[in-house]
Amino acid sequence: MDSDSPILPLSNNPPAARTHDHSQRNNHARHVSSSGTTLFAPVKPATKKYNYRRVSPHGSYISPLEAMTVKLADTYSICNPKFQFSSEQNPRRPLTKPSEGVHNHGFDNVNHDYVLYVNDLLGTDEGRKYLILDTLGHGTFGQVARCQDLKTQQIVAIKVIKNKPAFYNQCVMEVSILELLNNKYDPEDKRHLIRLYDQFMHKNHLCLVFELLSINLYELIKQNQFRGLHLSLVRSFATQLLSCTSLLKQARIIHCDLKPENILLQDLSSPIVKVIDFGSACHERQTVYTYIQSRFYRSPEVILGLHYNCGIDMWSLGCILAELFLGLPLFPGNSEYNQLCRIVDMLGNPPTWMLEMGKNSKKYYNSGFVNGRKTYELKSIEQFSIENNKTEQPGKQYFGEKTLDAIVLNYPRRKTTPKLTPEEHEERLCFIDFIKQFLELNPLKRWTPDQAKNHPFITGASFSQYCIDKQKPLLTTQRTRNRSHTIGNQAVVPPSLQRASTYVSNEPEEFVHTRPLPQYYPPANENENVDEFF
Amino acid sequence: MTDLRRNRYSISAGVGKSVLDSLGKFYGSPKRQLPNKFEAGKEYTGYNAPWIPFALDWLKQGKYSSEWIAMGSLNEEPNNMIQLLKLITGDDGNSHLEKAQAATDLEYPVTKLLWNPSSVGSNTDSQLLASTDQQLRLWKTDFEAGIDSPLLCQASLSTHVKTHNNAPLTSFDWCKTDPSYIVVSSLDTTCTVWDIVAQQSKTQLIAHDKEVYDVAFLKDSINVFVSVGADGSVRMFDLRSLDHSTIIYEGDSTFWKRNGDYTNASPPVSAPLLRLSACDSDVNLMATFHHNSSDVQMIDIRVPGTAYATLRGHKGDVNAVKWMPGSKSKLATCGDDCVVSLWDLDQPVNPSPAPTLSVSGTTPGMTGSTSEYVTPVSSVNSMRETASPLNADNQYSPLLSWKLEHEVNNLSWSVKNDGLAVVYGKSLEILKVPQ
Repeated sequence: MDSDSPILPLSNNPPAARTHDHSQRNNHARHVSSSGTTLFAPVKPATKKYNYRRVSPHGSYISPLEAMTVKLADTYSICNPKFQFSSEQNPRRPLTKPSEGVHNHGFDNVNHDYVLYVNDLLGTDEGRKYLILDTLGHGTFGQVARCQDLKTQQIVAIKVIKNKPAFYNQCVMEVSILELLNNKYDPEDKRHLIRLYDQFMHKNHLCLVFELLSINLYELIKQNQFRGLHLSLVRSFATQLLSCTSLLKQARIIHCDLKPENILLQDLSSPIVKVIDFGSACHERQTVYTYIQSRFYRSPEVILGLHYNCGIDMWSLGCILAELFLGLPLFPGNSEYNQLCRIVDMLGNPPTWMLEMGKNSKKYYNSGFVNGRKTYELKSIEQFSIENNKTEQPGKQYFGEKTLDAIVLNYPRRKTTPKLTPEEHEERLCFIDFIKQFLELNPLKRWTPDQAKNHPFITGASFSQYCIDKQKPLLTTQRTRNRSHTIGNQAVVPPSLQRASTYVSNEPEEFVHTRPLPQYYPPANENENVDEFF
Repeated sequence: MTDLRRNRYSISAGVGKSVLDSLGKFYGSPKRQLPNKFEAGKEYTGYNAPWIPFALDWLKQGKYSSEWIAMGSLNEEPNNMIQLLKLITGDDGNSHLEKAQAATDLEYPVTKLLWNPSSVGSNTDSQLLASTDQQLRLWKTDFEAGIDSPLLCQASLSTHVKTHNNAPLTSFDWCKTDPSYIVVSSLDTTCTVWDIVAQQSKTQLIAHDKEVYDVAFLKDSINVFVSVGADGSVRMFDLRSLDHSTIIYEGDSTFWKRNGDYTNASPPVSAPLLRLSACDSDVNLMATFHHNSSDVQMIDIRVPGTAYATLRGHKGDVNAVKWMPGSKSKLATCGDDCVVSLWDLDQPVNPSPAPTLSVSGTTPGMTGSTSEYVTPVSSVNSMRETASPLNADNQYSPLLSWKLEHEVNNLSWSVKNDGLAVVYGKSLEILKVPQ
């Protein structure tokens, strides 16, 4: 501190420093003080007294800076009661592009999206009004806005559906599924599914009010420069996602679009995630769509056009977990043919029965007979291009290795030491074994979420012991097979019957609507085609 | 002494007009001694106004630089003014302030005052002064005219005719690179760039989703400016690509609703940012602070999303922050704790490793950015094995601090950085800054 600092304690004021002028002022002040005592009642003491400050109606003091910024409109109103300023006259910033109103009396743009403006309101019922703050994203369904509930002040995400019948109907299904999952299966909000708070119609747009979450896992990887996450973090995400998929299986709901973009962090302070976007979800007994799942995460049975169930979400989960560790998609196909090629390159051909039953098998495979048995061979890129009258691009290789084991084991560490420690090596082997249970081509053999919960990658048990224990059931199986052979009269159940027995189930539970859905009036024009799903 | 002083002040608040007038004359004496503040024999340089001053600027260009200070009143009545003060230095080295030209009969208090920052024509006897209230006004000052001469209003610029909006203007900045441009911030969420030579608005854009409280051009730029507002964010705009803006900083939950005094129906998610000071030597650096906060947030636009440092030292709300002209590391702050502080960012108390750019978030350049928003990412760092914290949280203490009598509301640097003009209570005082 500078020795010439002007800071001095008040007590250092020496009496000798007083001047005559000071004394004179003192007398004057004393006179005023005496007069004041006579004229005014004593003021009630405030908790902290500020001189030269105006008191706000709430009892706090308003600083000059506040008066010139936060309270500027009030200040000017005090100066001139005729002063009028209303923020309702502020120019409105459109969030939706394009922002020109074309359809629906000017409320919708050319894409039938409602044109959102910052600080506008969604909803007209009392207690169900939401202030538009920002946009969070958009998709084929419509758009998502970040809004504030004016009743509770809570920040929410509102999905504003396109004003078109097809999207409205699919959204009604989404509402039914989410209400079933939220209210019946997960009322305590513990299974990592997004909460649907409310729904209402606004200018003929169905609006779904969701809890507001943070960034998605793709964004998380991106912000990590597409370097993979630590296995401990992958384990945490895997545990949560298995809890979610287990619940979905219990409810017989298929998500149909699991991918990193649809898994969001709850907030940035902890690795808690939630699954969103049930706009493609369906019940296992109502699998009417065949063009589902985002390509990188599309299961073999969907690609081949087979019947599918909750197992397709497990395949997607396997791809997601691998991507979280590797930082890049495991199967980044640039077309569905390329997607299938990448899967076959790494994991081999699907079982013959899948190729036999698949509606799309002829598209991708040549079939023939060898020794009286039907065989299938994946078409070459040249043949496929010629037959489909388009030029297929060979897939770009992102990993140096070909097998899943080699890719995971050789994934470089982020520190100077190039070699894995024995613990790290075993942990990676454990992870490989874990995701292989999801990346099983045969959906009949693919693990369920509850099976996966007992894997040592999740439980933390010894992977070595797990490998030892894995050998024992084989002996049992052999013993059983011997017994069957001895009896000599039991035939192996053929795959077709296996499939049939797997899918026999009770009728789906009736959807119970807790609130009557709002009335929807389709727009007059019906000629435009529904946009392609992906 | 203490009781007597308190009584005097409380009486001032309620006493009749005639007594207040006489008190005003009494307080107007520029030679008042304040022995509790200075060592014996040192002269106090200050001025006592009959009203509360707020807007403040010390002339920094021309042959009269450092001699003239402009200040504006904050009267909550239709009787406001802009008062020029002349700093007169005697032969004995002591200085005192004299009342000079004024613009009286202003209906509203001015929110900001700035002298023309241009050095062109600096040898003339006149200079332009700009102010904002409901309009951007340009005043011509003739330094050789008598001290009783009025300030002449050269121009009043407003977009009210065009927008039918009566929105007050909260602040403005005068472009140093091309002084024909002034950018103005408004309660109606917009910023307007004015060509003051042509007296036309060049462009008006929606800068924030709530009120805009301050705005500043970046160094050496006529196109890029930054703004702060009630939504608690710092945003950067480039006039060459106005399709989008870049969010440079957003307050986190620490700054959420620290009091319940918000009267509008939609309280902000983050506490408002009230003022912004851009460094005039480093295009990347700026400083800002939240409403009801005693901290100053230091921002580097190369590391968007969070503050790269926080200045913690004030024990009351911060009221102003100003970079020292020509410095990349020194700045002054003042606040409700009656303290004025001088900081040096080159001298942290506990040095820690410099922040490293370990995230791939958008790094906006002078040409603007293609991404509209940058997601705050500091919390995500804790989940990464290789994370290195962005906010290194260097600890700083003020180089120097002054304790004054009342809450300090505003400050302005002298051209030579050897003085700080500060306003507190009804006083303006010049603090000597050691070199």
